[in-house]
Amino acid sequence: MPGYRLINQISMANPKAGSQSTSIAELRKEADQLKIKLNEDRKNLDDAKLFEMGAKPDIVNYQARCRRILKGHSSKVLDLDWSLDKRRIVSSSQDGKVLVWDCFAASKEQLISLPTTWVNACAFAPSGCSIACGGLDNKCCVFPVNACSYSNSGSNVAGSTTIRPSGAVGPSDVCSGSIMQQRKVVAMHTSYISACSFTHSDYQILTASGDGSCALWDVESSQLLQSFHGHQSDVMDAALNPMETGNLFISGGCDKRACVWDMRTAKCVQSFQTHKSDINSVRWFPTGEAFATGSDDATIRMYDLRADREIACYEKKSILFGINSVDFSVSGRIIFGAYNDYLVHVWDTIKGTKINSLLGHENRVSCLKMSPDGTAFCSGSWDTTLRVWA
Amino acid sequence: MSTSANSSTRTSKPKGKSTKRLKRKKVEEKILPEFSENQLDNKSPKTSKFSVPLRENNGVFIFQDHPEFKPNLSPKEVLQAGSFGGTYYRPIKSGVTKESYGPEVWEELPKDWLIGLNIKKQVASPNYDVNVNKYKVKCGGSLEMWESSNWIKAQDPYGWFQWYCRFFLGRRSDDDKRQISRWLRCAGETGRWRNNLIGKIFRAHGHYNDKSVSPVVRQVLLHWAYVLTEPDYKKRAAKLKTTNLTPSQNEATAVRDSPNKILYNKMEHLIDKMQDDKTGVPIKTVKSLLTKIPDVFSGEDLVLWLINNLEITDQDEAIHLGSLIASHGYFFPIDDHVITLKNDGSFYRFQRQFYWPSKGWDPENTEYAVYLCKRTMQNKARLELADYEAENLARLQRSFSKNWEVIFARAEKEAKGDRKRDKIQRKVFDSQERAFWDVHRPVPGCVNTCEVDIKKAYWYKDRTKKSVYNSSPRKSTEKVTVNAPTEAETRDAIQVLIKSLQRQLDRHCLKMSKVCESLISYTEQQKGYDPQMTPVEPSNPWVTNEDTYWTESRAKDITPRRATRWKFSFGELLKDEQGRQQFRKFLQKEYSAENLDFYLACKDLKMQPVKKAKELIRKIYKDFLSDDSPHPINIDSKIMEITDKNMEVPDRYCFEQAQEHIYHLMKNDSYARFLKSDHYKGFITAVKKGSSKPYGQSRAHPGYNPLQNDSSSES
Repeated sequence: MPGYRLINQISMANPKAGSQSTSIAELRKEADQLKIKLNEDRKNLDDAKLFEMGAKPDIVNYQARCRRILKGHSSKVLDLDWSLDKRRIVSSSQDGKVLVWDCFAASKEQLISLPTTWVNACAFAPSGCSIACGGLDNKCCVFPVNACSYSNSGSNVAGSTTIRPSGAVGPSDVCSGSIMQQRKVVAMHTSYISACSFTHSDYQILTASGDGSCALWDVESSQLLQSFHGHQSDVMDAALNPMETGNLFISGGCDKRACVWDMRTAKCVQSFQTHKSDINSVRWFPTGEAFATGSDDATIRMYDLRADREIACYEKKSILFGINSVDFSVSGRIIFGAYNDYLVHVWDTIKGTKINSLLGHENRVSCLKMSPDGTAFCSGSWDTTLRVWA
Repeated sequence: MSTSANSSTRTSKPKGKSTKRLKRKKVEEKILPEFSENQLDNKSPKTSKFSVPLRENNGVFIFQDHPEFKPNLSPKEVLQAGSFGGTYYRPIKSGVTKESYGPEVWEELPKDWLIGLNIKKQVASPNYDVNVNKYKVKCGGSLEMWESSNWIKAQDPYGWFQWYCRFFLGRRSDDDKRQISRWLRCAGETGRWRNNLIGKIFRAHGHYNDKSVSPVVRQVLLHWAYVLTEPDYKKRAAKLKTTNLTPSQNEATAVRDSPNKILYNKMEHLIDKMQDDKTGVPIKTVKSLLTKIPDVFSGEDLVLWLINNLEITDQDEAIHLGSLIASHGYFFPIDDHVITLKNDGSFYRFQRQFYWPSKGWDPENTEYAVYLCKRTMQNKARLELADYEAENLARLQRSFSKNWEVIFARAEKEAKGDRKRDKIQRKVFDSQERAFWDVHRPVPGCVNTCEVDIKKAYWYKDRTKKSVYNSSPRKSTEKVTVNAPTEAETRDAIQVLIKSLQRQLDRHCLKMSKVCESLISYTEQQKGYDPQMTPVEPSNPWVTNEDTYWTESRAKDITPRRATRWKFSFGELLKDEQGRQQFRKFLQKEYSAENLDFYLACKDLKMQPVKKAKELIRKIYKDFLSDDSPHPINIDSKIMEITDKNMEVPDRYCFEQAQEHIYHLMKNDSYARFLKSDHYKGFITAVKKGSSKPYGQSRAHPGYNPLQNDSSSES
């Protein structure tokens, strides 16, 4: 893993010198030659197909039922996120409302009304004590969560020897007063926020925006730590690497490209462009060495960093509709896709077959996320409801 | 960007009074008929009392008394270029002055302004001729419109251009201020037409002088005596560049299809196949005793067709897909407003292409009102309004109360047109029209499939407000033409491509077989730990509503299952807080616990607020790296050198190399020994024996993993 990162840095440090003088025709020729060479190189490595190799293991018989229906939003649900306590959920909707749910009890815990519409993104902080959300107002704001006492006790148990463990904007930070006064504007983009997430820490937020960039922000000071430019169009989603040493994150956007970024250098280290339309969602395979993307072209594709290419495409003749969100089961064997055809289609990752379609929502399924321990997943839809499936 | 509205104005002829006041002197200008920016009119001999206004090098006229007014075309240039469809000085009856005007209005102009112009066709034509116009497009509203909006004042009954001619010739009046401010708002530096044009050119990646970009707005600006110049374009475009998207972004997006379009294409492809004479869905005309139902097919047939043609195995799936295609407006049940597909003998009909959603319909409420109104006129049982439609009609009637007559008249006209049709044909037509509105104004409770994701809506270039009924649709004729990128851009693009190709070539890649194998083995290995694949013990809380699973697993209880997992990989071990603790204990025995401490401290550093970073960096350095540190970590001099250099400008990543080194040291060395160690083996056996607290739960190490608070569920 670190091996190729190093190589990247070296090769990027040597930009072609003196190419100013060369003509366009020459450049084109050079590019074509490189392409041919690359194709040959890759052909040698292309000695197997995932779905063929995946034929051996047992077939997955996947059944799931809708276990909870969360009703409370009065318009389209656009995004959701699980709290690490495995039972709470934050969801945001088109009418500017953000709700915190006790999902297990199917009850609402907190309502935040934002002075904007289309809150495209929301996220739970790892400590469970705050949430972040953003949308058409081009801002990503952090709000404290009311009921966060018990998750806080969890982090206290750990104690501390050298350095305080991350997490917990403690209750002391939660001042009383109206919720809007407690709001903290952390991120500002020049276009809508399409995705936001905490980076394994309450103190940093990663945002993706319609202005074509992603950015990493310091929550406390609202300072921009790093911005990531390279997409040629709106960025629709971004996801952090789950690996222990991960300094990478991925993003996907309307330029049909999925980019792999190095957080330290703010450079795009790998990019993949085989989708035929906008990429709406990106999610890591649990190992952090591959990832899946969902697109408006009605396919889910999987890319591998080590193979540096697309390794699988999940599609079916009868599926015409685009995908808004994808996620893996914790073992990575199952892919869940939230589709515009009101269904959640379930795929076998290594066989490439569709193993189920879950009908329940009555409009486009806009977001989908696995719970932190993989016991269930939740989907949100334009039909204003959220559903938990297990 | 409506092509319609605009500016420049025609009016009736000047009222006697004001004309007389004008001293008409001919100015002998030597202006070329086609304006070019550098003409210096002020060089022309001044034979008249009224000097031609001074003109700057860039063509801008300077009016000493109104410095803000900066047109860059003279009235002569406007007329000579081809404007107003040739109708400006046509005879009119002014609604403002209530008088009629004839040829005297253009006769007042200096003769040479009209040189070479055909008065009948190019100056005072009663009929608007698009070909007269420089940009060959129509623009502008009617005189009545201008009059009714109070833009026309009695002194210049033809409007702004007449005022401009007279102002140019030296007349000054009370109205000047107003007219100039109008000009500023339209063609001034922040004027809407001017910036509209610049924006369009900028987005289309065009040249400032590219006439194919927005000819309508160019024509409008011409009427406002302004032509876009390169400096003006560059000035504004530079601003756009900084505040807005870069052109390359626009280029990428301008040509792209909207996501719905992709879907529509797919569905239309299917519909085409369905309508195939031989292999499609059987279409029939059903005759019963008294009536004939033309051109229908049954739901069963369609479901069967979908199953056979799309490799669908499940009937419900086919019905669902069919319903969705129907709800987008490609076919519809002939006698139900709710558009769904049923797998029975009920009848369906294909929608006319004209009404397909890909045509970019976004009909307005007035259109809907016309439709509903029309339905009430055809007092036939089958056309009776449904309850919700009647309610809609009532609501619309309230909101359009002022214009209801217009709507009513339009509906009447439509109804009359419909009546001319053949009876059978009309039946089909009526149903298709109804289905169209069932898609765009669905029955309450049904999904409106035309809704767009706001994130994508911005790019909906094809989504224009078209009129379903009106004879003169407000169509947007503007086509954004994407010009070929300039040489510099192509060069840059290719260079970027080359760079990325080289990078890809340099990258060490694994063979597909290796990659697939690793993915498959990972899923196999983890299968047992995936609640979606293997039922959890005691039970999945979501299924049984018993959350003991959470309360048990959260705690420090270590099951053999959990401990075995640590064997899978080093990452797996570190992810588990208990795993980290045991590993640290093992390292303590080996006197290398500081490695883990250092690694976790570095990891934590990256997740802390920037405010704290400095302090933490100092602490980490002092604890693990400095000469007098209590627990120095084992790194070689080269990495130490790099780290020391990083420390000159400390940031969150300054220990990166050291951290990576330590990580691999632990992974390749300590971890392997850990797995083989008696410590781990003993631990496993102890766990298996059931004593859940084998080695004492002293808090060996806090663990830095922020994911630690599995805590959660107290209840």
